[in-house]
Amino acid sequence: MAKNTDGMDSGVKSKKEKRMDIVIFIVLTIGAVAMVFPLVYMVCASFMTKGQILSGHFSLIPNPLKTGTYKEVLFDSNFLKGVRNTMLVEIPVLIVGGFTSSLAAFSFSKLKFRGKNGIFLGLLATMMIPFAVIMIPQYVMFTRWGLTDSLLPLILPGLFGNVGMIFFLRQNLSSIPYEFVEAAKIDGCGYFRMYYAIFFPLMKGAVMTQIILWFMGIWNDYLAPTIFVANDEWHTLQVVIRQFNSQYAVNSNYPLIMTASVMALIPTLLLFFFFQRYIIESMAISGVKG
Amino acid sequence: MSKKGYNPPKKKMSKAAFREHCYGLAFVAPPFIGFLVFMAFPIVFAFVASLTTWNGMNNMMDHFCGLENYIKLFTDEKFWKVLGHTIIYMIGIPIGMFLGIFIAMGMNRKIKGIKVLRTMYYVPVISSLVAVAILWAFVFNYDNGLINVIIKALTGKQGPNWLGNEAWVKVSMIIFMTWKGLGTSIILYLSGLQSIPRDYYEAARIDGASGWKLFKNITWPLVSPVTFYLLITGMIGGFQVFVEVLVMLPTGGKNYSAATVVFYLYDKFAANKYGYASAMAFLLAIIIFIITAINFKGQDKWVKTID
Amino acid sequence: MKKRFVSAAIVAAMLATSLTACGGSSDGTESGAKKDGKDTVSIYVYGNDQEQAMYQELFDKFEEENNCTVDAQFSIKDDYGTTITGMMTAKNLPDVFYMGPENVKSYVDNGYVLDMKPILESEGLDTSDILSSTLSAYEYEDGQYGLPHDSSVFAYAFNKDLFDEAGLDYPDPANPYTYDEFVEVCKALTKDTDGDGEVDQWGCAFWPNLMIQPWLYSNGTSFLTDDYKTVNVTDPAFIEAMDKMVALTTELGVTPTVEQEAGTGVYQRWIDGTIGFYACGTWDIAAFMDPEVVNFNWDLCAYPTLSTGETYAWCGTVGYCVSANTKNDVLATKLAYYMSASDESMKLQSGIEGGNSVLIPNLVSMSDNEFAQAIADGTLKYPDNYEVLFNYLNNANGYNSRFNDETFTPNAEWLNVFFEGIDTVRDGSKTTEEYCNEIQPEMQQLLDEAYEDQ
Repeated sequence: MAKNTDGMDSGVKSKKEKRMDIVIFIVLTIGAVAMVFPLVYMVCASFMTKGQILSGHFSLIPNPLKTGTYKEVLFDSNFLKGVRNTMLVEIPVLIVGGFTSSLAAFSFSKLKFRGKNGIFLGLLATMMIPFAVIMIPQYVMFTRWGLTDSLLPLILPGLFGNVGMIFFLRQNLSSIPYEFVEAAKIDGCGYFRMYYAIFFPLMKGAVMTQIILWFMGIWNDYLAPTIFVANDEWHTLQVVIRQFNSQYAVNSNYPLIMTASVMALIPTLLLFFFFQRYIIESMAISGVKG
Repeated sequence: MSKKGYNPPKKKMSKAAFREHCYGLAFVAPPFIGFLVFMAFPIVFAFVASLTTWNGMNNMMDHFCGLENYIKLFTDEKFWKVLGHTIIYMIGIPIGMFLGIFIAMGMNRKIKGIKVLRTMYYVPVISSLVAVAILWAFVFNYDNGLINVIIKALTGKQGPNWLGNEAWVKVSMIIFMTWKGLGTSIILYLSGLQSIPRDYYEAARIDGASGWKLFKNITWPLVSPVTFYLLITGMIGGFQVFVEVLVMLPTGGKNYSAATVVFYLYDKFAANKYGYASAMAFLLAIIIFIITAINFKGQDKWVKTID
Repeated sequence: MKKRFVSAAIVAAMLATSLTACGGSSDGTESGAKKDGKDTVSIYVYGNDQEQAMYQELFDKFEEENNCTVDAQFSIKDDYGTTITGMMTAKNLPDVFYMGPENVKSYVDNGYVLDMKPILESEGLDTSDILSSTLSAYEYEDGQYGLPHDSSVFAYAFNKDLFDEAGLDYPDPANPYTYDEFVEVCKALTKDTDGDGEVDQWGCAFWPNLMIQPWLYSNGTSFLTDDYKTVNVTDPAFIEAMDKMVALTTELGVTPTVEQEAGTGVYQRWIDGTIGFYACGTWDIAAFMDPEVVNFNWDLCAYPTLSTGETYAWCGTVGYCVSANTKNDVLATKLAYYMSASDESMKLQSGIEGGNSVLIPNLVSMSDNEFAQAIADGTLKYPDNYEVLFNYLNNANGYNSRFNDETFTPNAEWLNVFFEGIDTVRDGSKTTEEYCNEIQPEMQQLLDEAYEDQ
């Protein structure tokens, strides 16, 4: 289990080291293949016929190849509604919530005001509160405001910002020297201008990463939509996928279920592949510094 | 956190300082209001509700029952049963750490193609929980599921009843959750490993240490902040496991063998026992709070920092 | 002082704007609001896609006839009860919604639903043709609090093709099987068709939650005593009936095992044509008549009889009720009546028009005439032995039906707990007697609580 350090320094690896590298690479590859295998199988199964899956024999290659299932799911009105509704939540939440979060992060990091640390710690502590505690009261609240026939129960809380994002951006801003603020003040720059003209551009990358992560969080959220939204018309994608599952599992229509699940995964997977460097970096930072 | 100059003087504020104070407050007002409306108020509300036999239809304040719900919880066998399951599922936390640190150590080498592998390990993390839970429910299917079909092809024998057997269902859930979360441990350990200065190892090696000893004395202690973070977040999340069970075993499994605390709570919520469900939620919050507090207290003993 | 006030005011102002923003958005959903000068009535019901399309068609017609707007919301069945309770909590109920007979008492006692009787009378809406056993489920203390959406029965069905292959006579609806006869037929149907040494065709299959009741009722017993206050599962007749059902799986092996069920569900196996007998609700008929779903010949039959010598099935209903706070009580009642008892609604939903049957007409005269006629002349695809359904519903010719016990209790938690562990009996790890004795106290406690919390 020795850590290879010499090799990195010199750039020349001993024979033993090289052999070790190969062994490790093979082991890691086997593990990685095992990790993605269920997902690969899901994609394969989505092109199979029901008969092939239910035959009880192992096979990866769809025979015959059936692409009609994708058409069936794609043109299912519930699926499309699910995508529409999820997007209707994403857009206002990410725009407004992204703005409020970054503004608050700027304030927490660079402005002086009374009660700052108290408020910040209070916000942080909410990350520990189980959703189960606030679920029932929020549910009652949204019903009482008459919002359960809309997407507002999913949109409203997000507009006020996201604690995780504030925390991360504040961390990000802490590396920017305070002198920036002082210089801006001397120039007579207002506080809001200071935010959008100086600090927002400085944390743009971090904001982007956080928005992507938040997008994925909303995309994948199941619990809040299923509890707070009463009308079928407004169900988000994850709820629709789950309903597909309950509906088609009785008659074992696995190809359809798998197809719907694959399509629900695609957007987050694409985002991840394009932005993986940033996503992994920000994940790592929250773990090591958090 | 707070540097000297950041705290405003207690008594008098200059006009400029007051302006800054107002702007500062105004800028953090949205999250703060969100916190009041969507967190603080619900928490108080849930606590009051937990002291009643409110069922959503009757008037909450007329059905005050004191601590009755909490007392009932302590004698509710089913609650202890589901709490037991919840804790059993947490076996996945150390398993994930163990696999995570070793895979991360393997990846912390200059080998071509390692980044692709890293991505492969991380894909489950960003996948939708509902979709992959549906997938795994199918993978674990007794007749046609991927695992049993492979077992049959290799050995000719029928594999276990992964989701239908009271003991196996726990194994299945732990496998699933470990699979889903492994990528996170790997990434975090990897960045932890990369922050360890190389001369630590060199110094130790000069002293004749190698292999296991290097790991035990240097690597493991120095990634302990990551281990601590994984432990805390793993436990806070572990106590709230719900959607996994709901999707894979909508009735909670044979004899309720897969149900977790939040699953049971949700059942009570669906049965309109709002008061009892709130009490359970509050107890859960208290348990999480205590465990987290213990973890933070205990961290001095084993969590090391590099500087 | 002043400074603190200003900063407090900023926070307060933001709080106020955010709250009014929330409040403002709820205006549109208030019941009784007028849209385009027309009266609006809101309705919230559940149903699958096919049913929702039918409802929408009916709402459109109703809008036209009454010059009003129907504001419809749909959901699926699973979450419906929770949502309605939530709406009650929020005092924000739709004008018309579903209520099961089990909810009549609590909804009425808590003042959520309206007595429709005075309006039905003053508007001249006649209920005398509605199946009285179902209609009475919504009566309470001289009031009529609901009108049935359906009167459904969960009958038995068999796969004709399997009988033909085995050279057996079809079951005779006039002479239901005894238990022993049923076992013999099931044994003859259970076989290994592809010769791989494993049974792959079975006499029958069970989903106990919905299929244990006929066995109990036919043995003169049930989950609860007649006053619905005491859990009766330790009754020897109960244990005997359950034993007989379980034996089909354990000793006799004429059903798939519990493990096999875990792999492929019993419904799927019936659809695949590997099960001889399976249950068929009135709501299943449209699907089972669809050759894309079921591609074998099948027909209805009676459940086997136990000690009472009569065959039993359970029946069910859900009804339309009107919110007590509605601003348009007359219009709302009219809508409920329209859905429940109008010719248009019943003809469409029973399939007399359109050919897709999701229920049996609530109107006795219609089921006796147009409905029977449509089946006879083939415009409505229905199994030959359709009179099985009417026998059950009308308690005629040695057939009986009854509501399940949970229809009369405030909630069904006490029953759910029974089914959670029932597989430990069906896989042979416990005897019926052990299980029933063990579970009885827990069920009783939950039942007691249900009454206390009411």
